[in-house]
Order: sequence, then C-alpha cells, then structure tokens
Amino acid sequence: MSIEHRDDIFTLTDNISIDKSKKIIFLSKNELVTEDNIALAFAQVLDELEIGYSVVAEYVTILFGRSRRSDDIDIIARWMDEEEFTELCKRLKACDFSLMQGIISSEESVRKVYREYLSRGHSIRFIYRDIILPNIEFKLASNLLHSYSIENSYTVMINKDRIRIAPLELQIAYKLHLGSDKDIADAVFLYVLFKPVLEQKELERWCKELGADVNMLKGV
Amino acid sequence: MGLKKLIEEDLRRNSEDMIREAIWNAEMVKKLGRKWFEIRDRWLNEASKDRELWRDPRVREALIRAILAKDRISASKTI
Repeated sequence: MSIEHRDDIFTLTDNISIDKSKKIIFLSKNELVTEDNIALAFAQVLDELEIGYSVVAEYVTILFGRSRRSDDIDIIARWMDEEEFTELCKRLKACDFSLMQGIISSEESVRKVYREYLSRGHSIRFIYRDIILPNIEFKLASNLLHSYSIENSYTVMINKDRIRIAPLELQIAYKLHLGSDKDIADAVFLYVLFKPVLEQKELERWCKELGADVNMLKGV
Repeated sequence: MGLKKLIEEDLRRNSEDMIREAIWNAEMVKKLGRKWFEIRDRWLNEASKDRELWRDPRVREALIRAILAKDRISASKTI
C-alpha cells in the first residue's frame, strides 16, 4: 500500500486523508451509519454553542472502519457551569435528544442532573430520537488527560460534517493502558491504519505516562 | 495439561486471534477504502436491526433501567 504525501497532506486510502499541520482528517463515505448520525447531531450542537469537546474510545475506531458495534459514543466536553448545561440541554432537546437520567424538558430536572452527576464527575447519557443503543455518554473534563484531548483534538470532516476526536497517539496509548483484549485490538487497529502519520515519540510519551507497554505494538 | 494451563492457553490464543483480526480489519480499510466502508456499513446496519425491539415501551423501559443500573455500579467502583 503506497502512501501519497503532498506537503502536509497524507492520503491513507481512497477516502481517508490527513492534513497534519491543520489537524484535519478527511473521511469520505457514501452513506452514514446510525452511530455517525447520532455523533454528528450532538457535535453540531456543541459546535454551535462553542463548547470544546472531543470524542474518545470505541466510536473513533468505528468511525475509521472498525467492524464492531458499541453501546455508547463517549464525548468529553470542557467544564461548564449549571447555567451553560441548562442552555445546552435546551438546544439538545430541540435537536431530538432526551436525557436518560432526567427529563430534558424540565429545567428543574436538568439542574438536578447537573448537580448529582456532572458536577461530581459522573457521566450522563443522551438518547437520540428513539435510539437507545448507541447513546451519547457525556462527561465534563475533570483531569489533565481530558483537557489535553480537547485542546489537542483533531477535526474529522465526514463528507461535509465535522466532529472532533482526541489525538490518535493518546487514544492508542489509552487503549493499551485499559488492557482488555478488545481495547488492545482497537489500539492495534488504529496503529496499523494510521502508522504512517503517527508521531512515534508522542505515542511513546503517552504510553510511558499511562504505564502502557508500547512494545505490544512492535511487529504489527 | 492441567485445567488452568488449558484455560490460559485458550485465553492467549483468543487474544492473538483478536489482534490478528484487528490487523486484518485495518488492512482492509487501507486496501479497499470507500468500498470497505460500504461493506462494513451494510453489516453494521443489519446488525442494528434488533433496534426494532425498542419500539415496545416495556423493552425500552427495561433497557434504560439496565443501562442506568450498570452506570451506578461502575460509578460506585470508581469513587
């Protein structure tokens, strides 16, 4: 498989290319799957409200062609207060999202969800239309890793829509750190697919930080 | 070979198979590109047909309760 390289743009496949300097991945698909539609609808609301976020975990692998399903689409957003969360829920409700832990149309319920879950570092779930699985698992950034993944996120242009994902090196290292067979397989998938454009030193740095064994990727 | 050894061997083989499958999956994306996404998305949409079950309010309610219960257990483990 030859990799075309034009300035900072790498072409990985006939439908995936990366502009490394601008941190943009272009993905062209004939049609979107349910997972894409849910993630993009949610991301659009976050973008409209200028809320920084990044998508992490399984959906990122599905986005790039992994043949498996996931029960949730994990999204980490920058910290926000109760007022901003209330506003976010109003917009989400208008876009057909409902809240699993509360009633999205009730401000009192939304505020309660913020106090009992988000402000304590727990995640909450949003359902899109009548689709229970997958749902959006949403939490607020509460540590340096979360903040880093938001501040250094990549934009993925899926046809004309866009979504932001955590840096690939961090995702791979984190998956190795989690360590289940499924997580390691996901890490291997991303590593093999994006190998020509990964920053090896960055990957090693994250593996060291997280105590993950980068040697697991040697030879693949 | 003892039972423990047999299980360990089985788990090791299973891990290797999953890694091999992940490599194969990534190679398919690289080799087939857009065509792979067509094949994969067709499979993903077929695999999602059990979603029809959710139209039944009882199934829907039970599923939501199960997800929330699972979340409570994982939250209590992480605190």
